[in-house]
Amino acid sequence: MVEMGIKTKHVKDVALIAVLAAVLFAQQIALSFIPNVSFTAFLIILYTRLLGFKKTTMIVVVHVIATNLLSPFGPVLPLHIPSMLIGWILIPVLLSTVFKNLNSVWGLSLFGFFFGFVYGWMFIPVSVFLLDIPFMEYFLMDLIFELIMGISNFLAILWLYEPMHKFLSHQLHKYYQ
Amino acid sequence: MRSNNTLKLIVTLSVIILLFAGIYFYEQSQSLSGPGEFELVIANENEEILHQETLAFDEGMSLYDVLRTHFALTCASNTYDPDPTCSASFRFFVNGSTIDGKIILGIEGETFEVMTDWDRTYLAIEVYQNGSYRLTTKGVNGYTLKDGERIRIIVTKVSGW
Repeated sequence: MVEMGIKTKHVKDVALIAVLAAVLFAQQIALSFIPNVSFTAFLIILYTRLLGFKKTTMIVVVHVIATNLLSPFGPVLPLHIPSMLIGWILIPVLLSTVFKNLNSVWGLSLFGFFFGFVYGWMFIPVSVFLLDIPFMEYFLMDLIFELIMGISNFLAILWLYEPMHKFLSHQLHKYYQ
Repeated sequence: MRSNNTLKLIVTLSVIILLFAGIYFYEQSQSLSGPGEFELVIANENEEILHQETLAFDEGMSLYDVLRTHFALTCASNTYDPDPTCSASFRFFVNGSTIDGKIILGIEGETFEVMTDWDRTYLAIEVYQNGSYRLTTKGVNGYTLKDGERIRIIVTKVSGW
């Protein structure tokens, strides 16, 4: 009986990871016509706080694979896939370690804002060392896009985190009952 | 709760206003200047100067417009094949808006010719600053010409070739 319960929980976990990864993928594709504006950082922050490090990391891995295989706009450069993966996984890593106690909406909004810049910087090593793009030119040109991402993260978390956290935690409670 | 929402609203509006103000002033600083003159240097991949000339530009002219006026250009087609008609355009994101830009593969003057294939070589646009050439962050349509500066267009090998 106990074993059945654990198996059922695992099946439910897998289904949940697939559904939440699909949500992450769909919103990113839907918003990809606006450069660097999406709810991806907001959703990963929300998932981390509700599901924890392990499940969120699995969602991120599925999301990165799906984005690169199924995006109608084509994959990113294969060399950039590790940067993308590390960039998104950084959210559950940081929120489970250094910012473990960061739970206020204002704090998470500021985290999202600065993460916009950090995510952009993840692509610098490959661009500079492997693609030979000059560091300063790349850094300066990317700043405006990082700022856009930071502000969109900030506003999305500021307005949506509390209601979505409340809604999703309620749904998760019913789902695992 | 209400005061918290009011604070959120104030912060949101402030951030949006600051963002648009920033983009507006950035665009203003990047808007085409002119009329003026700039020195154009065209070099091969060994950095040997093939052509050097001072060219004038009018207000609103892009680097592409100036090059088109003085030289025979070969642009990239939509499949990146050579296209002397330069009819194909590529959509680039410049200064917060999209522009229909060109990709130049080759330039031919009366005494010189440079040609690249995009796969192994390309034409890099550099500007002379503080004693050395620095790669511009924009292409021939997006780059803002400034009076008195020196621009070098140089054949450059793609990394790995």
